[in-house]
Amino acid sequence: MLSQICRYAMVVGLVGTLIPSVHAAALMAYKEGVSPDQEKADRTACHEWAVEQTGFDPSAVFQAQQAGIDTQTILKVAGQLDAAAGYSDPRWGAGGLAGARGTADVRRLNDLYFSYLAAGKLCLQGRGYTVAQ
Amino acid sequence: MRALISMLSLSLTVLVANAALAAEKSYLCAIHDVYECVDVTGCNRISLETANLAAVMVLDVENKKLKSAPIGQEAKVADIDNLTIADKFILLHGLGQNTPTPRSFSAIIDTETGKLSAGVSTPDASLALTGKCTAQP
Repeated sequence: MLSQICRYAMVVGLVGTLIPSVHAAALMAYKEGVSPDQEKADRTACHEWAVEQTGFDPSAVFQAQQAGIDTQTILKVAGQLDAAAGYSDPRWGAGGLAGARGTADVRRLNDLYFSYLAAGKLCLQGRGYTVAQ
Repeated sequence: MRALISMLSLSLTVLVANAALAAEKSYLCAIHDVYECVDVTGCNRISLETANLAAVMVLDVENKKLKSAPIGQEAKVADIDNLTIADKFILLHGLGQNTPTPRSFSAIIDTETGKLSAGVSTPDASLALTGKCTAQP
């Protein structure tokens, strides 16, 4: 279960592309002759499209990674998303027992992130990129 | 003499009652164990992180609030819908507004021993929690 969580939760959204090593994007994309600026613009456009399609915006995770915060698991991702939402989005839980969750809730979070990545992959492919996850 | 004893008894009762009320304003509760129970496979112990629970939370009896402050995060507050004090026990329940799956929670605290037993019901599973609470002055 934990390995599954980690696999789906190795993050940076589609926008975090041009930074190497631990800040690498979850989706690798290649297109012959494309400039870094154009690739960044395409990824940003695809990020926005994926958010629109899935209703899930993990860009706060990317920002957290830029700030050097560990976001290696979906559990920590959820914490970052909670913070980005000002601790007011009920999806990320409330105080004390009201925010308690089980493994099915964690699986649901994983599915949201996975759907977002799948939509982003589709978008980049539509723009002529070869995409690997 | 009998009147004096009565007066002393009454004073003592008032003192004890006041002390109890003061102790009941808020409690600091540490969660020890969390078990997740689902159909077929039964119950398994899960981590506080998986359960999205801070190791310590504050039960504000006076204002009927549950507060938690996970390390590195802002404090979160949840309303307690119902809180009853029955003898030495505090009983409470409330609702979590999580989407897409709402949940209810309930707990009982023995104010003498501090023992906490709590449960969270979700559409997918039941979480059973144990812990210890200490009255805050």
